[in-house]
Amino acid sequence: MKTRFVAYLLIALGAVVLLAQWSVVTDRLVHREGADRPKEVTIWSSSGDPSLTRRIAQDFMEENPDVNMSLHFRESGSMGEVIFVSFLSGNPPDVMDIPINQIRDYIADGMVRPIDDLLKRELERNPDYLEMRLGRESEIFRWQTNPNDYYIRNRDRYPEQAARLINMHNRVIGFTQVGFPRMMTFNRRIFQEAAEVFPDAGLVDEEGEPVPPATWSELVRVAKVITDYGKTLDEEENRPYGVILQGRQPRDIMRGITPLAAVAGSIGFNFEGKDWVSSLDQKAGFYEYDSPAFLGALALILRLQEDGSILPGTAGRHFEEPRTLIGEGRAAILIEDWHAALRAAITVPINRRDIGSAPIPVPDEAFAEEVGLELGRGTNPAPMGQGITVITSGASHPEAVWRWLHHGLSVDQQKRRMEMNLTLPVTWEAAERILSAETEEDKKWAQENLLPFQRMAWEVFEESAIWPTPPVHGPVRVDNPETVLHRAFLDFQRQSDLSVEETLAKAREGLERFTQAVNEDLEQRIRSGVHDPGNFTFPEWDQENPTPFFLQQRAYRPEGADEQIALSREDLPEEFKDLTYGFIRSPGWPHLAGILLLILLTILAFLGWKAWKDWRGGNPLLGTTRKESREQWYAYLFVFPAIISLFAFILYPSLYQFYLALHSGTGLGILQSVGFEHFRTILFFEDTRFWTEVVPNTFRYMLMVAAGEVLIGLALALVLVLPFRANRLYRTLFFIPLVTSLAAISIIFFGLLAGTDSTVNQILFHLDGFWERFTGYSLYPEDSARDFLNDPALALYTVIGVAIWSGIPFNTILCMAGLQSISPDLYEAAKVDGAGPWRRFIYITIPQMLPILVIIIFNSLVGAARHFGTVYIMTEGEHGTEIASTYIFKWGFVRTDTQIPDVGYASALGLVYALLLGVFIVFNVWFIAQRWKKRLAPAEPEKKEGNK
Amino acid sequence: MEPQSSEDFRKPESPEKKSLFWRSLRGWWERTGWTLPIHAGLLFFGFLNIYPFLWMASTSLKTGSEAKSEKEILVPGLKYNLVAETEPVYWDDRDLNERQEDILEILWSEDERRRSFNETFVPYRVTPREYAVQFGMRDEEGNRDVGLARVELEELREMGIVSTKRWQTENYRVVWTDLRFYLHTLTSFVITAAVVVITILTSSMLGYALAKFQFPGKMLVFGLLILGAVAPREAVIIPIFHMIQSLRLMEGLWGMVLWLSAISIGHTFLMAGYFLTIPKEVEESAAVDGAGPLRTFFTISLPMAKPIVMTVGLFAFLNAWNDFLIPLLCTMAMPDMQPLAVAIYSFRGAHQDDWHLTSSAAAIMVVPVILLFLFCQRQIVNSIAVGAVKG
Repeated sequence: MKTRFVAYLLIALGAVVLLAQWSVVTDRLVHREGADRPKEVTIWSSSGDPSLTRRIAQDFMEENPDVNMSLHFRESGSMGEVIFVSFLSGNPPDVMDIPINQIRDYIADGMVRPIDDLLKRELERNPDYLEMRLGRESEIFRWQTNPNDYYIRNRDRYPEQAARLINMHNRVIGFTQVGFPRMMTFNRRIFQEAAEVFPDAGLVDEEGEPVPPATWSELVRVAKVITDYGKTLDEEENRPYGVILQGRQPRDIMRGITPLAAVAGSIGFNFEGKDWVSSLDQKAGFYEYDSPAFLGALALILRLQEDGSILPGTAGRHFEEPRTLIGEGRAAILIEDWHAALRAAITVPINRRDIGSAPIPVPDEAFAEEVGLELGRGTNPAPMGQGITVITSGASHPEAVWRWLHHGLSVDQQKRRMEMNLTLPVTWEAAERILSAETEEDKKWAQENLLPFQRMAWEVFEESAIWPTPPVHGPVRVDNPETVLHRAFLDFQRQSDLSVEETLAKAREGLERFTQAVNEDLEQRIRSGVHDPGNFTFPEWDQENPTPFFLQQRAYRPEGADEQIALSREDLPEEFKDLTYGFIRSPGWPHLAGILLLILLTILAFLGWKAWKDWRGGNPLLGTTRKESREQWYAYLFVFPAIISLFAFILYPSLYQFYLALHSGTGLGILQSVGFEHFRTILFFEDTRFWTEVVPNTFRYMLMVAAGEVLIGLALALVLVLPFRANRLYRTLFFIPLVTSLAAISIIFFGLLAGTDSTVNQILFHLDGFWERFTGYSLYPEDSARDFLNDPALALYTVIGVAIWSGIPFNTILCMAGLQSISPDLYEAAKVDGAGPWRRFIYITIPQMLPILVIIIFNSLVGAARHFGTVYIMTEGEHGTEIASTYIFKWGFVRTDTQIPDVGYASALGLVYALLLGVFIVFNVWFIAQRWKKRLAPAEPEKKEGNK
Repeated sequence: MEPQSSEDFRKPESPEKKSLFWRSLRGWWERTGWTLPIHAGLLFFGFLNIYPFLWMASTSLKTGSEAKSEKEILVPGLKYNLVAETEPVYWDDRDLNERQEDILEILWSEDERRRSFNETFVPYRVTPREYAVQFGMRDEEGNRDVGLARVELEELREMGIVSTKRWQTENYRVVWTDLRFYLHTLTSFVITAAVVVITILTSSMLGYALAKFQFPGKMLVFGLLILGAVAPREAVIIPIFHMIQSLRLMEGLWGMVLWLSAISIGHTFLMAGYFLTIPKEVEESAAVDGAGPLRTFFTISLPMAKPIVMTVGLFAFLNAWNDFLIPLLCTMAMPDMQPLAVAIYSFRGAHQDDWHLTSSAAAIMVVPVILLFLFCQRQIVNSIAVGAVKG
């Protein structure tokens, strides 16, 4: 009877699982050598200073030389950089004890401090907390590294930085946590000292107590006085530093920064606006970003130290939400990045393979000449020259900046820059009108004129290497402008053979020029009454109904908005009137033309072939009867949309991919022709990661997922076709993953499996405890849990398991359909002949189901190669789970610290990948063609029957 | 000795008398056979199968820290929550400091995990006033020096300061409104509807043409169709992406919709197969009435093909709803226009440890579809069985 056989199958499955428990799976789950327990300490750093976190980790490693550690860095959301410090010994992933006192020392040191209030409280209450937590299982702590604390508390190790920090803190004039003006704390000492020099300035009251400014204009006034006081000091080091604003209401702060920053720039006053809210609020309408980018640059330039280093710290994550800033109208202009500010070299990346260490060859001289940039070498191949700077409304002097940046360029060069969209021309009036739209009319004008501008700005922004990480992931992955600037500075200095002081002087000189321009503009506008630095409002932040971002942008696009190319082209200076640029990076019409051309060529080729055949054979070209030919024309009509879609999305892109694979570039930037460089890289095995990890993983993934899906699906189908009454319940139970989205499943499994304290691990611990109580034998000696998704030995198989899990119901249904199509007479006949269940299975079921099984297997194989979502959501391709689709995706679209998207290389990878799958594709094509050719072929002019 | 009756085919009994227990066990076995083990096995594996969803549901109703720490517990524990808006309570106890310690002792004790404030539910938007409430009571001027005497949680509950709650349904509200999941759901629906419509139209028209018409180039079209159906999608994402971006289709949803419809072209085989089975007489009779091929198609053939249209629609729906790569590419710059699959992915970055929110989002994404599935299970399963095999 079938049931018995099915039961055998279930038992066999169970036995397999149990056996596996003691062999491979056990070995992978548990590591028994030595009394090791895995300890993984995660240091989440949100200092915004990646070099600091690395330094901490390296210190950690140095202080523990006998502990074999490895560092993994990962950027995680709003937390900045995450360091996983895995303590290893011997072959990975063996583990070793953490010296607990080490962590305690670091805590006591102030180097790390717990970010979680709960954790902090626990630590304060319970000194054994660490031991308690660490003793039980691997723990992930979250710490926040504060660079200032770190340096100050380790001042013996970093004396200069500590001294500077202390000095800086002593020089800061004011600091606010929540909002201005009531919540600001001022530096009493500075006020009093300044009051001694300027007694009439109203800085202190009668008793000598400082009077904190209560309004923005008061603050501006006070700032001016204090700056003047600072100028009376001999040592520049002791001059008052500035005001730091931190708050929860970014918009309000920003609106306040606008005039203040203008003033700040003009009086050389350091001003940092800093606000952060949790990334959770980011989606709710708050936006997280650090200093206004331009002011950051300003501050940075002033904070360049004598040895060329930069005071670390607060200007950490710029460009946090530039798109949002653009969308809200707070970012008006995109111009060239600060690199150009120092006239440093542009490095156009050519060879993606050599990222990191080798110097990049000198780029095209003609290109550099054309755009007025200087040649040079960079040690970091980040395409800094292609970066775009967002200037927020805080530094709303675009024209002045524009003038400054184009200082020394000829008109032709400026034009060329604009044509290449490295620079965008915007006049001051237009930008100001946008940014300060108060009345309805202004807002409407801003809306109408801003939208194309935003789009333009957006595209230019997107062209930079900042794209394409979505903002909800936290900080946009861009080079820290600090480091960009720093690198630029160093590059410039190295290239121009100047000493550090001279380079610094040049930088300052550039800044002077800029500040002067800013100053002039500001004064002129204040004089003309356009701009009142003290008069602005704090608009109410509507927490309840933040306008959805895309509704702002999409739904209300006025007619004709696309027609406006430049914002106010008429306002451009005379020599720019004949600019021919468009703001579509690469125009779309070539693609359309290409598609149409391809279709035409195909039709022509076909007609030619037909004509040749007819000339040989004598058949008429089209149908003879009128009805037939009318039918044919209608057929073309029916076929038309699908054919367009096929050509547009499958055939033309394949050819375009060949074209792309011969070029190199980031995103939409400048495409450079590199010939067969990419193919050489791939096919000559120079891309080791591809051949050692990606290709084997892909095939392993495909085969294991397909095998698992089909086998388990078949087994399940064998059970579910039995005529149990409760089978419908079981079908429901087992088929639920059919309709649930793969993304949701991946996230759920990510939640279940991620981390060493994951649910699955906890359950296994409980089961292990149970088992241990019975047998005294524990599968987890000393709690050595494995992290299923982060452990390179396990991760791929975990993901494969999830993929199998999600693919089982589909295959079960197919197998069930196949099984139900076998007529029971065969089974009866076999039973009469005395065949047992196993023989019946092998000799009847399998052969009968063979055609369907082949289809199923093929579907699974091909479908498994499409599992981008599962892998990417669960592991993002890290830790040894890279398959071809994630690899191509990363090469095409993801920018990390060590890798820049290269569209050409990704295209070449895609072609090679298609080639590797070629066997499957060809077989698939042949298979389908075989099945369908007869049914579709025009046999003879008679009618053909319907079925088969 | 030849067998005389069916009794002789039985195995001879062993001479010893077996105990009652074994005999009844054997009797039961002979009656029911393998049924019970199979049921047991199916129930067990079935439970394993839906365990992730159970976990998702239970985690979505926990508080944040509870979700983080009590991951393996399926049923959320009872929680005592501080009521957010509370009138200040005045005490004039003298030993304020001591009492405060005591109260905090209760509030934060780890022993009474299930009844303690270890996982205090703090309302989503925390204002300074709420923090004040958390640490004690404020008097009129907002000073935090007033503490609570040691009171039992019961008393606190009666006083209305504390409420008991087990399921935190606020997570859904948070995810829906604050994290803008209503936008994502809407986007998903819009995209899916468009893709389904376009796919049905396109593939049905193409399938009909291939099945019914003879025209020069038919084999060519067929060949192109096969190429389109089997071409690996991931290999051509880059050129298609750039093409769509240049054509400015990326700014809205059209790029995604067209792209998704294009990759669903393989369902044409289903339609063609079905149309082949429709006898020609039906359409010839319509043609006699003077209808052109177009009219025939839309009024007769397509309605006749309803089951297969629904199958194709189901497949297209699943493809469009579940697809991750293409929406990810197309909406990288527009976080608010992401469909659900990509929105879920964003949880992995910013809210990686907010398991309660992640589970709520996943539940929002999954539960409606599961309910739909439960209602239409039979049709869906049949559609898939028929469609995937024939196609």
